[in-house]
Amino acid sequence: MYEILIQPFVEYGFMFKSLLGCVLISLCAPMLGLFLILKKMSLTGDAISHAILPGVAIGYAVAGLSVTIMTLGGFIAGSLVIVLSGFVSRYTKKGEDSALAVFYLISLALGILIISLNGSNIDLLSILFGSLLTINDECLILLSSITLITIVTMLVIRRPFIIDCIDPDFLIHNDINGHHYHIIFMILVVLNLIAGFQTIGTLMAVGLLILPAAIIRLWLNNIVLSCLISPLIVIISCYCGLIASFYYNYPTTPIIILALGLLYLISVFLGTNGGILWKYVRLKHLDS
Amino acid sequence: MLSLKNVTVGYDRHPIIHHVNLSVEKGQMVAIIGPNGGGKSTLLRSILNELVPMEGAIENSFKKTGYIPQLFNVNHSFPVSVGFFVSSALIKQVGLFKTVNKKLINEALSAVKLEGFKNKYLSTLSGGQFQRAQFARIYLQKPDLLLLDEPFSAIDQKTSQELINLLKQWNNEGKTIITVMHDLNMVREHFPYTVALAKEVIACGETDKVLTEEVILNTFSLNMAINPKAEICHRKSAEDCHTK
Repeated sequence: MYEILIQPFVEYGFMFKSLLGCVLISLCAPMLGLFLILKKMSLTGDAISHAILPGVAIGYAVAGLSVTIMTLGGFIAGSLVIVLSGFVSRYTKKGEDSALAVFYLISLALGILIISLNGSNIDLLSILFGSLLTINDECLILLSSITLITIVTMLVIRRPFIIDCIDPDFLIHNDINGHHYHIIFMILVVLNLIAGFQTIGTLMAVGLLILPAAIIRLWLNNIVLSCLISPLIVIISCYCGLIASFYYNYPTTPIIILALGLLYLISVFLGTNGGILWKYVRLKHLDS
Repeated sequence: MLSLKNVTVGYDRHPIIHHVNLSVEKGQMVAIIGPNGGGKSTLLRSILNELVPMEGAIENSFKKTGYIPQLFNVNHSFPVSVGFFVSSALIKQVGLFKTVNKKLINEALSAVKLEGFKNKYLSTLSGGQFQRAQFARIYLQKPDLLLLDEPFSAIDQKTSQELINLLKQWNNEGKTIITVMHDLNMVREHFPYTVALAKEVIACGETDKVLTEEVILNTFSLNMAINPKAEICHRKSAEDCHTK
């Protein structure tokens, strides 16, 4: 048993590094996903992950397959879309979703234009599906920094950020601009999507944010506990993905997302915080 | 003191409140009554500087203004505790790095009789309990001017009674209170001063003198519809209206 399940990670450096990368992402991605879900913005992550593309493409055009430059490009493009749509929705009062949809589509179109003008030598598949098994030291350093920045920032802004989620007008009446904290949060989402893009690819990077958060929501209501437990969900599914790749040569990313999807389906039925099963089970009631 | 000088506020050049001259002295407890769409909420929101007057000026010399909006403006479903919700009043003092003084939270919760609810989720509160939580939060904010927008609509009698007693207590301690009210009997019973507002100030002053049959009929029978073909208004100003 040990040989099958553990040894690959001890014996092969690349397997260990891949798992380490997953652990790093797992520490903060589900936390951001949880807030996206609570803010009813689950699909926003999807939009942002598309918005990152032109930055990555420009980074590639300038410096080739350099993780740092492509990441920086993606970060700038993603943040620009966030700030612009935040700004436009705030001043036109027309809803952030429509502004975000417009800007991410512009960004996506630019990205595709840049990629096609640069010839097709870029390995589009590795951007779309990531390359978790070829993760290198440069990438691990990047992932650790993103994890650290995300956790520290969220700890610092948690109070005004959460108040802005429940009662934004209250902050305005206290002369505090809650919108800034929303923008900071969204920029953290961009950062984590880039982390995801390094590992499981831009197409499914959102999966590591939203799926574990959606799963934990079906079991727990408490935000702090959810943030502490959800990393386990990510680590388990990444482990499944890596093992499946190692033995059967399956692509890693889809297995990870499918493992999360399976957990989600199980939770929909069994989850103690709203699972379908509990609607049909009559437990004895308490006296107060 | 709060004074509105010939204030007109509205949307797309159509006035919602029209040439309002009104002043409220420190330490008064004032009810605002009027029909739906008569500009009561708009009046509060302009005092809060949320809406900018199209004409006139608002002078507010109170140090801190507290505001309880109508119920539906808060996202109840977000999983935070009642204690956290109430503690948000201290956000300015606490900032990003200090911790909240738990004693203050307990004190605020017991002032509104919500002891034992501190760790309950906001989503589990009933309408009346949530209103108590809002009162606890405003209590912690320690404002000297309180603006409340229909705080007792859909609230049971006992809760209304307890909360209005709290308002009266705060008023006795020197706070100035302006409340949008629907229940005219409650206004008669508890509010010394009343403003009848239907786009314009219909009457204002001591409650007994304002709440006459004639004023009530006038206030609530006015047509609040906006005329899309309205001409530019050339009126200079309306009469001054002091609550005292």
